[in-house]
Amino acid sequence: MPAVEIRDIRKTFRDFLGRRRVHALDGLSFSVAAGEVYGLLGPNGSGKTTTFKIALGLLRPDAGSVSVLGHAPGTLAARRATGYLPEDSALLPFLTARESLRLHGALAGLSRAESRRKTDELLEKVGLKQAADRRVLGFSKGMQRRLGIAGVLIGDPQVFILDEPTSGLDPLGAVEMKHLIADLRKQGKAVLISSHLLGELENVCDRVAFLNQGRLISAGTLEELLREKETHELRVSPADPDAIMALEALAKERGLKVVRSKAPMRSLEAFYLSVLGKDQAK
Amino acid sequence: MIVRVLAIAAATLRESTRSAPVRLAALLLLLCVPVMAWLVGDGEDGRVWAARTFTVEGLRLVLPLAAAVGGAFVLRPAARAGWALLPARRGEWFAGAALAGLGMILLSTALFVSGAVVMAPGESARVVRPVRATGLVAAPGTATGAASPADRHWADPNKGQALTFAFVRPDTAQLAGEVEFELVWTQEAAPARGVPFDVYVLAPGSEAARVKAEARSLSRRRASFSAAMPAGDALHVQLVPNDPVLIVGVAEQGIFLDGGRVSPLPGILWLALLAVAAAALCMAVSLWFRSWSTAPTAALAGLLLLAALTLLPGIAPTGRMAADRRAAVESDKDAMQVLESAAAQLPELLPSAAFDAYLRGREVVPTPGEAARRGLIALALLPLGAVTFRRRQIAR
Repeated sequence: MPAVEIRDIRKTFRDFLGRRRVHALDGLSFSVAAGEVYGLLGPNGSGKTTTFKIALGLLRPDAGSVSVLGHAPGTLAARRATGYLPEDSALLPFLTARESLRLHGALAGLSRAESRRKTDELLEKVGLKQAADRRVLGFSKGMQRRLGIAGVLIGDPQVFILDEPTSGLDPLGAVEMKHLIADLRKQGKAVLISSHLLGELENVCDRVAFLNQGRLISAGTLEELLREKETHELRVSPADPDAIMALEALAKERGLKVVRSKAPMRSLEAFYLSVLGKDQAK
Repeated sequence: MIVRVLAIAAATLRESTRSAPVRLAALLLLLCVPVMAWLVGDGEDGRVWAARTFTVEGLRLVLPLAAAVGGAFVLRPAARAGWALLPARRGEWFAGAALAGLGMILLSTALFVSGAVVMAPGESARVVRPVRATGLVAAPGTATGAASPADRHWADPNKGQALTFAFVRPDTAQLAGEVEFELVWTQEAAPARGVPFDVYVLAPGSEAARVKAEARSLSRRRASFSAAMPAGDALHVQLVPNDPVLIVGVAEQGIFLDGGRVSPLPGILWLALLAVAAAALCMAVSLWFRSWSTAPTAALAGLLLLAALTLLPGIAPTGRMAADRRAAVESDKDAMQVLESAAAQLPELLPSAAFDAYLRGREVVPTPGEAARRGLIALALLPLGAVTFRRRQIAR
């Protein structure tokens, strides 16, 4: 049984008089298995957030069916099985970080002692131990994001729905988030994720789906979708210029066209992390 | 389920009480009655009067008004407000919000009443314990109409009628009392006197003669009287209409003697309980509307209920008995009069008699049934709201 199954859902938003305003979803179907990270991609207004809200039971589809671990969305069983991190964190501003997590714990059915233990553990894990008794109102966006993640994790749900999970996080936080998602996959959790930053999804997703105007226009594994069948990349080390020239000559001799041959560059994120790592080590 | 509802209610209460304006409002609530009484009241009696007035108006008008508006904002059905995403049922979220709203009402009332209580301990703030009539003395040809103690008895001066009420003798040196009455004009002429009846004190079984008491008009439909306390255990008070154009109507509950002074605190607490029940009813209506509409619409609905149940029952220009009496002689009512009569039949949001009694410096008679009835109606509205809230779609 898939962890999340969405079958042929349609959703139209109407105005007060019942007139059609927006076709948000038009026959969308996909499923997410346990231990899989599934990415939803698409421009603004393509239907990603509407899909999430239907999976959470906040909206009802006009047609089609949705199940979360076999439960109808919005039921207590489905809500407890699901951890949702919205794009704008949606925290209660006048509660402290500790009170927020305890509320999540109480609603997730944890005992008082267990809730207290997991709250301390998660505050430590997301780096908010020092700010545990500060009100969320004064938190930066990154801190709110971390607290939101902790709130999602406290109930140990089986399905995670993450809307732009790295939004507002610094590069280090974004890397930690990716590690967290990888950990969730290892634990056999199903993760449904959306992001505008395609590079982020590329690093963490097993499968991705592209939405446009409420329709699925392409879906598959990263290997299926991204592999360039006509070219091959070969990286060698050390970068000996003579050896490289010899390799290029051999390729030409075999009738191959050398498309690109240059020293590879690290990503800015990798450079930032190495610089930050060195600075913190001092 | 209960744990989740309580957790949501506690978090909502924390959320609602932690902002700076709420703290300022709490301080204002606490200081409202003492400060206003000090500012408005002139002398000790003036301060007592002002404290009573602000206590009564705060409880019967401002508290339900605040509850009607606050009930529209205590529930925030938007994903970005956070509640929508918590692992709890919609019904639990709704019940938690309602419980938090009730908590806010109780907290506000407690703060406001604390201020009123501060003004209550003085001797001049003590209220009169009314000694009610034990019944109307049957005297042939002296009284008309009497279905129950709440109904008025009528006396026509042109027929030589009078109303005689029996009392148990109060334990006071001087006899004093008050009468609330209704009038029916029988001729097109202006009333000749301020008090349209003479008051006599009788002591049945004793040698003392019938003594005329000194009567004084207090307002349009209220008069006070005083006389020397006659000897003997039994006591009758007789009202004899003295204006040929006016028939006088008095209910058994509308006449009482001064039975001594008592502390006003129990009365204030009863009024607070009645006001909390009425405020809970207003909040429940607003919450129900909020379960499927916007906050301004819900606030408007709560305010409309408050206005309807506060203003409409008093819309008829005369009291109910006088209106019935007028209807008996005016068989043809126009549509407006029919509507007016129907509106006057609506139940009041608050039993005004209890508040009026305290305002006039009388002991408030406990009416737990009145509070319970309003509280139960509020409670009955909650499942309705929870069901409609469950069906609501949360798009934003």
